[in-house]
Amino acid sequence: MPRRPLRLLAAPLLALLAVMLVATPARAHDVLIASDPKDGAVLDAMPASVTLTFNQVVRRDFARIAVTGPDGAHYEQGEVTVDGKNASIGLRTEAPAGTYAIGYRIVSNDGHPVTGTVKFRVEGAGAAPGTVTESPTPAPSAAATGAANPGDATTGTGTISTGTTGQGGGSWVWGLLAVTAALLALCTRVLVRHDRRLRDGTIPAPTASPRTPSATGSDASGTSGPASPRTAPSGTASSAPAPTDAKSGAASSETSAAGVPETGTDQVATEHSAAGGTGSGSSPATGGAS
Amino acid sequence: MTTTSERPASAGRSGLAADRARARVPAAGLTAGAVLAVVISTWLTLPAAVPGLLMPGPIVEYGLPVARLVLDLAATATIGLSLLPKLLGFDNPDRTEPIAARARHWAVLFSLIWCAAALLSAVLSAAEVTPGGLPDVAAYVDGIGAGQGMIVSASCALASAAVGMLAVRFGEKVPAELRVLVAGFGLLPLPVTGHASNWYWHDLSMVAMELHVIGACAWVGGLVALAVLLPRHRDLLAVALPRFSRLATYALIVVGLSGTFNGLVELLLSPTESFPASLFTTGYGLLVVAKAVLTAVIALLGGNIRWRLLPAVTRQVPTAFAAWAALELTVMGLTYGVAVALTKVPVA
Repeated sequence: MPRRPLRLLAAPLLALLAVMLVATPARAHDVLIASDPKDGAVLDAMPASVTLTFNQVVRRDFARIAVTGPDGAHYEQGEVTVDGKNASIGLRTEAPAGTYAIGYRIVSNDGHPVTGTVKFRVEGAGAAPGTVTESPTPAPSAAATGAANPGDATTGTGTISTGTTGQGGGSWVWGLLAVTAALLALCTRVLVRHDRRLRDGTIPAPTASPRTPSATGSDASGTSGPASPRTAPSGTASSAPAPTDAKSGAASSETSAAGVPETGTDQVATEHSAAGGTGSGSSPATGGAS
Repeated sequence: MTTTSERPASAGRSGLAADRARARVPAAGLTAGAVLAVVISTWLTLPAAVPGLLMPGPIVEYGLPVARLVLDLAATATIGLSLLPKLLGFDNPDRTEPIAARARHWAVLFSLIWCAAALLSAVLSAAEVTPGGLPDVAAYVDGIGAGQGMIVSASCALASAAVGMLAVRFGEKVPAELRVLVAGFGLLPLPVTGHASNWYWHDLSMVAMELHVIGACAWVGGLVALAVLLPRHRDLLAVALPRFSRLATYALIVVGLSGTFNGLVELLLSPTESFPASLFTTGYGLLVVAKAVLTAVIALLGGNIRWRLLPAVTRQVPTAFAAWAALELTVMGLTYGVAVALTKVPVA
């Protein structure tokens, strides 16, 4: 008897071993291990592209790279290209000297975003130092719009994600979310109603006192096979000597459950009607018993 | 509840209210500790702003860990409340049934909270990877295992609520094993949403993580169920606490070993950090150390209940069990908060 909790834990453990043996895809946090140009590098001219190398294969979707110049403008152009562990993006070459920051965000295989910054310096670039006259307009296809302040989330850049990731053909998830939210609301309502009835005393809480004789009675008649030591919570066993008191309880609540709207074929919806029937159905029965 | 023998009959309505308030203390300690720890750890390990890229707003940065924490705590409570009938035993149904009925009722509620938190986590995770735009939940769930894990966990929570409602209706005829099993299945996808290492013994590390989650849920959930529902029922506590104590001992061993193993593996395999130093130089290492220290404190507090209080509890002598359990649960809450932050912090 006292070892029961342990045996109880064995079941989920066995289940999880089974799950583990079937499939465990590799999921881990990606880490930046190298970059071209390197962090802190000093270059003679603006490179044609930057490449970031991670410790594992990079996911194409959600990957973003932005290169911000000393004037706060964006110098990346084109789309992020991903090749195995490398993610790269092209650069505009007419750029002033100064310090550039490569900001990146990729989503690792474990679903977490990995962000970071790599800085490099361009000295004596093609354009004369300091001639920022042709203030570079952000390339139209740049991954990020020309918001100079990166932390400002209010700038209208909502189109970034949809443009590059696409809808991914998973719109069923939204439907699932909506249905589940509706189910949740329904369940909560039933539960709260049941709770209120319990408190009001419409359903007497399954207290100990009146059930002692009924429990022994059902044991004597030997109705509820393996569950007999656990004694039914409601007094239906004594009032109706049907072979399975569970059935009789459901039957007695059938009539009153008619008022509950039948909401589809979902599993929880049926539970809802069953639980709803509990409140209205069993109250007269137990009320009569006590 | 006035029928319990410990309670003097003169305890009127105010006494009942005070009792109820006192019963909430352990749960409140667990929750408060967890929220405090998760907010602090998240704040300490916030990623730096990246030039040129939008960062997720504070609602996502803090909302996601809190949603994940609510998920973990609700799942823990569900597991613990489902375990409670096994701890109480079935020898004395007249005494245990009122408690078990309340446990069944609360288990359904916590399953529903669990489900809602899992769905919210999925939406916030999607928002985290596409800041500035509407969260593309569909693409996230479609493309990333963690999103699918959240949805599977939410489904299991819903199934757990369904089984729980059956249990509310039909009582202990719905076996506790079934309820624990369904809820336990909902735990399995959760480690997938944290990071496991990518190495030769990957499967082993995943199994260790699953063991870690299941052990922690049984341990914390069992204690919170005992501490909230049983302190005023000395006879029941005398039966249940020794059983729980044995469970807790095994849980401590499992949770401690698997946690140490996983934390060290993550740090050892980090391609950019050298190991012993990374315990103290990286956010991940610091959180691992914090969790280990907290676990040691929990072990001490648990040992205190096991060796000092348990003999008196079994003799049904008045003890300060509720207070000690509340303290232990508060430390457990802190550990949960750190654990949530640990699942998100980059290793390097």
